[in-house]
Amino acid sequence: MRGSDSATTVRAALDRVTDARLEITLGIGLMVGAAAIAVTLSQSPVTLALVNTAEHAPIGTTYQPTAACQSDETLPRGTSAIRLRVEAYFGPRVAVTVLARGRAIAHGGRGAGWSGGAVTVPVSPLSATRVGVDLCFKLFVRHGEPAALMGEPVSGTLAARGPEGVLPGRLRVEYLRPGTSSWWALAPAVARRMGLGRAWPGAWNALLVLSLMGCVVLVCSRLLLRGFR
Amino acid sequence: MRRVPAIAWLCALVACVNAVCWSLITPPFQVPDEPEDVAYVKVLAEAGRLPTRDGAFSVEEATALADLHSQAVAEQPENETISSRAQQDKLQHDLESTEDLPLAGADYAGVAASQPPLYYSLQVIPYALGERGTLLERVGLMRLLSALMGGLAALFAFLFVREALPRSPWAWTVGGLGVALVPLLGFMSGAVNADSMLYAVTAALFYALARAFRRGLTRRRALALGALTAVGLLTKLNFVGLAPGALLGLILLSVRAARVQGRAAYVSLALALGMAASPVAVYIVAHLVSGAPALGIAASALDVTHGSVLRELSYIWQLYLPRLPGMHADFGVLTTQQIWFKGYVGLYGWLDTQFPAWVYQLALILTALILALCARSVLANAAALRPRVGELMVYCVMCAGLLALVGADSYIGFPGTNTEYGQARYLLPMLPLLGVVLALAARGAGRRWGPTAGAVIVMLFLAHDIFSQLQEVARFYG
Repeated sequence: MRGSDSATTVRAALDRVTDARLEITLGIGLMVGAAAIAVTLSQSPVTLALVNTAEHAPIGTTYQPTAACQSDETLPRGTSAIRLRVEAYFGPRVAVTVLARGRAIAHGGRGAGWSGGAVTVPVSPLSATRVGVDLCFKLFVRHGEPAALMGEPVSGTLAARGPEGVLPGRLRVEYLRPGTSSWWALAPAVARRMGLGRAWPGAWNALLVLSLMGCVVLVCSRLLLRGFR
Repeated sequence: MRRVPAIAWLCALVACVNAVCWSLITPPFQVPDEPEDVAYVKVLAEAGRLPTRDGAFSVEEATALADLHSQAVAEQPENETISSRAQQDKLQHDLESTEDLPLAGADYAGVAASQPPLYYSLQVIPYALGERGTLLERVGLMRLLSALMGGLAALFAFLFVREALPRSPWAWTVGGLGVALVPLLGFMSGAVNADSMLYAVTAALFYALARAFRRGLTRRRALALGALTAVGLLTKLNFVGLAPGALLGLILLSVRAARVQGRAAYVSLALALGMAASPVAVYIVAHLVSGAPALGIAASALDVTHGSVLRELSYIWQLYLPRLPGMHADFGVLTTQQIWFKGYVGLYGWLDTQFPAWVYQLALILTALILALCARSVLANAAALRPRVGELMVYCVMCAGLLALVGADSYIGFPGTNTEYGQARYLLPMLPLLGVVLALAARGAGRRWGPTAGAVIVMLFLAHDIFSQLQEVARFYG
């Protein structure tokens, strides 16, 4: 009888330790999560600084490694990413270099495995706008995986050219940089937009999502504290 | 039958509410195949017949797609959804003026047309409830039904974990909540897409199999397995990939039950098989009677071979695993990570909404930690696995069948499009197994730290879900 009592006491003590650990873990987790959200929302969304052509026409599909440069590009100040209009189901590795008078002033890369109608390559921002630069890109296409190039079908000096010759056009390139407002400042506008094109329009859609996700967090927290007993 | 615990219902509630949030965040028609799936329901509800693969959307749906700029937004991340009151007013006006127009022969449902009708028939209910509203209101209601199915998927995943790991009640919560918070489940269950029901039916099938393996095959359980297989076959053709595993499970269970029940076990097997095959038999007979090809429009979706079989097998292998010596190179080496893992971690909208590259690298590290804990738990309990080899084999055959089907479907478009069906959503029918992996990982942290590890895993999944939603908000409304 005494042995059973002591086992129960030990078990209760272990349960208390487990509960305390869970409370601490949950508290830290929620705080870290809230801080991560706050930091994320204090950043600015990426905006389009410049696009090199309004055209979005097919200029060819490549099934092999492709490298080309196109001249007379403008790299806007603060560009943090360059978006190339290349379409692929299973995108190849991509490298981008911006050259001014033959010297690399910005470069970046993106691993294989992206999907969709464009690939965004992060680059280090410059403090000043540079005009008349060359933009060079390499698509490390392997095993005949197709990648479609979109842009402006042009010929002559405006067309992109590489070691294999001149491409039948100029690749559409979009230069992206952080906007001036933080997500916090944009929140009302975002909430308004979320309510457009909806079954039941209104900014209340965003508020409902916030409330429901708050409930999800509460239920999960409660389950973590109670469900492990 | 054991009572379903309250925690299981709460997991289902979390999954359902999460999917509702996704349905409110994702703009209409910005989920793969949603325009076609909505068209399917519309034809079924308004004309009472099955749709066709060719043609054009109805005027009402085409108007909604045009006014929402759906074509321009899909796959083009620089384009966002409508942003002004004037655009909203035009949308509302155009939808109201087209809502009473007859279908006028617009029976088109594109890729969805070859799918079986059960999910779409159920969606006729919310569609009819919203009859007086605009198409977007009907889509909103249909999305809610899909969200309910997402909840069912989490419920059955919890129950599956309970059957698979009966001695670790606290770990069931980790598995159940982990599945409930998978962002891709919320994304797909927050849309009009037959995948949402497929996830629920498959999770129920996993649960029913685990239950029968643990408690033995009774007539009732055999019929339940047969019925679930039939429902799966009526839900989406992808279930065809899972059916061989379910069949193997029924046979193994019957052989085992025959030791006790004798011939009665085989009678149960025959009844279950009859029930499972009945929808296919009715479908074939109906087509033959009407003079159409036996498999009708579904034949095009199931015709998954071209060229040499060995070449196709090589392609399917490489779609998931590194190439073996002697295989023709169809992909790079890391397809598991580049296609499936990235797709699971975050590829939303029309596969155009993704995280920055570092997020996938971080996810890779966290996944490796979870798998290491899971492996530790499995190794520590290896002896307990031996009596369950048959059950494990059934799950493996189900997974292999699904992977092979997705690979074979992808091969149809190859080499023109290299991975047309390389989308992680096609693998979500295996979600219940993820639940077990998460529960095992928590258990792998040991008795003292297991619950804490479980809490960390659930919070990681919660954070993944919330940040995925934020990513989607930034993509469409930023």
